[in-house]
Amino acid sequence: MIYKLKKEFLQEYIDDLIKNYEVWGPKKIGNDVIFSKLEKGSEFTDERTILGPKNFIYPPREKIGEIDDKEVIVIGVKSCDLLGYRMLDDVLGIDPSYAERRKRVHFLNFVCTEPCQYGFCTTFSGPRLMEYEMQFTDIGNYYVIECNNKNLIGKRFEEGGENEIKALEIIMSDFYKKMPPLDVKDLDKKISWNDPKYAEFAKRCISCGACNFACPTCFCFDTYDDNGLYREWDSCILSGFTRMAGNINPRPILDLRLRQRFMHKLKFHYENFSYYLCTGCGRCIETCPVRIDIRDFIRGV
Amino acid sequence: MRSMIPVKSRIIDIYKETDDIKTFIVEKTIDEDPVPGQFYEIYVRDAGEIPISIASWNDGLIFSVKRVGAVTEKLHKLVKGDYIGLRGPYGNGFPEHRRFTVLIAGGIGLPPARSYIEYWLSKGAKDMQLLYGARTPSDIVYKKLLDYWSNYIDVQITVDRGDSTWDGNVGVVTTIFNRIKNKDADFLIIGPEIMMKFSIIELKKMGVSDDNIYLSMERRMKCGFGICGHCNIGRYYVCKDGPVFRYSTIKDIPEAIH
Repeated sequence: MIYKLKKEFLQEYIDDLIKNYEVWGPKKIGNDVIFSKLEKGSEFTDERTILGPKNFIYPPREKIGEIDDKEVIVIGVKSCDLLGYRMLDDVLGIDPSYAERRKRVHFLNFVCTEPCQYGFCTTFSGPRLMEYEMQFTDIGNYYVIECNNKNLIGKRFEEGGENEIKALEIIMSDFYKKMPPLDVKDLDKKISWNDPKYAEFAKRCISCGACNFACPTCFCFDTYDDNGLYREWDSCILSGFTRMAGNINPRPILDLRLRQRFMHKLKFHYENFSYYLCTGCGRCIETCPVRIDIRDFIRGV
Repeated sequence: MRSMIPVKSRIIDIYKETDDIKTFIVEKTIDEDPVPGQFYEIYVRDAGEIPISIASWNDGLIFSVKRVGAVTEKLHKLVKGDYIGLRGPYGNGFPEHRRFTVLIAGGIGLPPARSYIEYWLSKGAKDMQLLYGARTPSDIVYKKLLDYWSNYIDVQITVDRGDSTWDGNVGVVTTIFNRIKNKDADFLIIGPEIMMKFSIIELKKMGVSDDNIYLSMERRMKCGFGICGHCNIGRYYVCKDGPVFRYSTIKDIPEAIH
């Protein structure tokens, strides 16, 4: 169903959500915008955060066997992040504890109407998603709301129709002009094990793993014991990622680990799932202290 | 068992095989039976989880573990009656026995080979041969079993370095490839990748096809069912698409046999 909501009523809508749910959204704290628990609708901003809200469905660290059972609404997630979480579902969804938590988190995504500095989402699905619970697009005086969850419809929502769809289409066509898609046709076949870019990136990379942590699609985790068994996000860039007992390491040098990162996203995952494990969010570029740019890599292939 | 939550299992018995290898018999607290070549994630409290191949099973599960890292160090300190955590069985296991099969096992590669030999001997198959390489005579595990198996199948043993007690072959496992009884066979290789690499070179010289060579691969498998991302070899996950791969499947992947 398609609705519209006067922009001035968004705060009230969030206030109403807060009455029934725990609601999280981007909030300005000092100079930063951070996903925070919202006490009132006026705290909400649709600005972009540095990190997406992946932690709601996949905590950076969790005790294995313990799940939080509260229902949470996360409003203001960007479409590129939400698309990434759909991809996480395809891998992590077979884990009962992930599946359980996933059911309890409702993501309400906001469609970007202006390109961001590092994003290249038009290369993949673009900012307007096909799959969502509730998707908001700012069309000026109104938000157009595409809704698949009747329980979350607000009292001020007005029924929308062809005019709203038309408005969305105009905004999207404008967006695609401003952010022309990269050519990724047959990238999975063209990408090489011996691309000189791996060694070139390895000279600059400082193995911090920020690209993995900021990525909405990175799913790798490690387990370890700390008075109980924990799982924690892991990074394929780190030397210990593949190191086995006896100091045997199939990827002993950084070139090979960077190769794994790019090939996993743009070849291996494609071969297994028929889509690239990347949403074009640009967070890996933005957070990289040495500006390793996956767009450069794709263009070079 | 697609879950990260280990099932508590009691250690029924422990045997010392060599200076650094112990065999653990563990209560079978998971209903699902393994097949030869599969593995379990073993959780040792205050240490962590590690993937270990199943060596044998009946009432209990039998694992032989070499002390080589932090978790195995701690596991070796446990005693009869202590508890570990188990998840599994994971992986595809060895292919079904369909014709003469040569098992090439190096070092701690013998326990997974044992799962195959015992299983198929119990089904009446005797068209198997075992080539086993150990570092020294004192590193040989399952000495009694090796004797027992030689009543039914051909067992060839070699050591890298001999001693005064040893009158058998000295040399790496490829030095006894001239004793292979049937080249028109399935070859299962279980051991370090360097051993796989040289075994494959020799088998190719003998005219064995890539399709008839199977490798039991090792990677840092943390989950066991394809979600933690540590064990990629190209598009494959060693934990769920392996650990046993046809050589022809992975031979063109640069990091497969490194």
